Amino acid sequence: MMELIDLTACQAAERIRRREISPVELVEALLARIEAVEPIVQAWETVDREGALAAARKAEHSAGQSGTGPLHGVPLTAKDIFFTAGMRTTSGSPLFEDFVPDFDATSISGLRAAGAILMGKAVTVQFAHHDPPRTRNPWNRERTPGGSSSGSAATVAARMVPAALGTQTGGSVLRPASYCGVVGLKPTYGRVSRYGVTPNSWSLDNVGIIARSVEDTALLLQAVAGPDPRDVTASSVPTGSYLEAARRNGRAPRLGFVLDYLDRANPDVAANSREVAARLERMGAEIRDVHLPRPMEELTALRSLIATVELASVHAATFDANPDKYGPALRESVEVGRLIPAAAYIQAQRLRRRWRPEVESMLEGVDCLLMPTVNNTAPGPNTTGSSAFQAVWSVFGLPSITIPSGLSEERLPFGTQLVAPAFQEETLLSAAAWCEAALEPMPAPEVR
Amino acid sequence: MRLDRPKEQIEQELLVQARDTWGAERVEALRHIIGDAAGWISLIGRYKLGIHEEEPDYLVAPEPNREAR
Repeated sequence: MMELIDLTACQAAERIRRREISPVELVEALLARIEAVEPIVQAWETVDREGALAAARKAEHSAGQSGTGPLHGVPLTAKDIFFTAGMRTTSGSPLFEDFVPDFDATSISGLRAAGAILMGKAVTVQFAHHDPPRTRNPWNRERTPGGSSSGSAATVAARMVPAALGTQTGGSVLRPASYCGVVGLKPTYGRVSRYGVTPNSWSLDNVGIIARSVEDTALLLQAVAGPDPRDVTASSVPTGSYLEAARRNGRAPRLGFVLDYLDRANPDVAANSREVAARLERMGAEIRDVHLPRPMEELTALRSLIATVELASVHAATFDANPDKYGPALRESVEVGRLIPAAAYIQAQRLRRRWRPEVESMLEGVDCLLMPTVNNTAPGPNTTGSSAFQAVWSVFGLPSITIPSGLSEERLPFGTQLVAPAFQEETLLSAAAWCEAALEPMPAPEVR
Repeated sequence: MRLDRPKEQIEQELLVQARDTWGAERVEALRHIIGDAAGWISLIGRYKLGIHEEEPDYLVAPEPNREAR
């Protein structure tokens, strides 16, 4: 029998709605889980025990009544760069150790409006960059969970919450999700408001979702997607029926297998990717080989250059007054970001615009692109891994998702990445759900 | 700085700027990322883009919420 901590967000929402379980017992079970494994995983910045229980008691009274939201009574967490009214938001920095915002990020408001309960805040790499965090991978405590949404991925994988919000500038949702053996969704740039989220890079940041099923990412996306008058970059393109798309059980997808990734992946990752493609094809998917229109190094150079310059700009005022409060990798990026000439930044942005149609043309005749999520399985704790495999899609604003696709000989998760055209999250989620059903389910890690 | 040059030349120029901006003691810490940045600049700097080739909307989000302005 499934334990309460193993419930996905969709399962929890349904059982709460039917009054088969109480939000209070679910929160209590998760709090007990946190107490048991958090000393090992170290994924939480703040656990709001009393707030979560109070919200659960309130949700218990109205569970099952008409008018309650799709996430009624479901406990979640968010990366600690999402502003949460009345709850500490550190952005992973000693500069904001005691900072308590007086407003919610728009996406947090969306989750609360849908009835979700915020259990607390998950560890973020400092300012969502890449200095290694204290969080450990639930599959192996000697390995990184990835970053920068380290705590978001680890809390979900370790069954401390069913789902979490993260953010991605290069690969900071999909990579930790892949390393931790869970699902990570990065929507189209502009699909979800970034108001109230500490920025890393203005023209690259995305709000993303980490969960243990494709269906769950769709459920949360439904609650947070849409325009926002407080965020001019939040798109007014109509939102879709994401949960319906994830549950559609439609036709087998047509997938473009991006071969350039295999040459750059570790041998075990490349082998897993080929096995996944072969399995999906046996199950009915149409697989065709495709190539990047340009060397991956050129495409990722755009992202790296733009991100480094924008990061330096974000920290222009704070850094000069407090350089010693910045982690080494972050400090280096800010300092070098200031040296990169404006002409190079503008060149990168122009090429970004010019190359986008070339990259989008890879999707002609297929539903999604298919490739490994990361070049490796989780490395040691002194790194958060490489964003190269995810960053290509980040720089062009395309939606992407990772689903777990097996375990290595060292029992570390592999991840498979799918990419869809801009604003076609329904296509992405439908294909991802189909692929998820075609692959072996991922077991839970033994946290020890 | 001219962008259409080999990585090594760009790197040397960035190292000089790093010394002037952040001091000699920071240059060693920054050397590896300066190498990376020089590589990025050199990779994209070789592309010649005409001044009439596209509208300068690259700094605007793909679908700006114009009615919010």
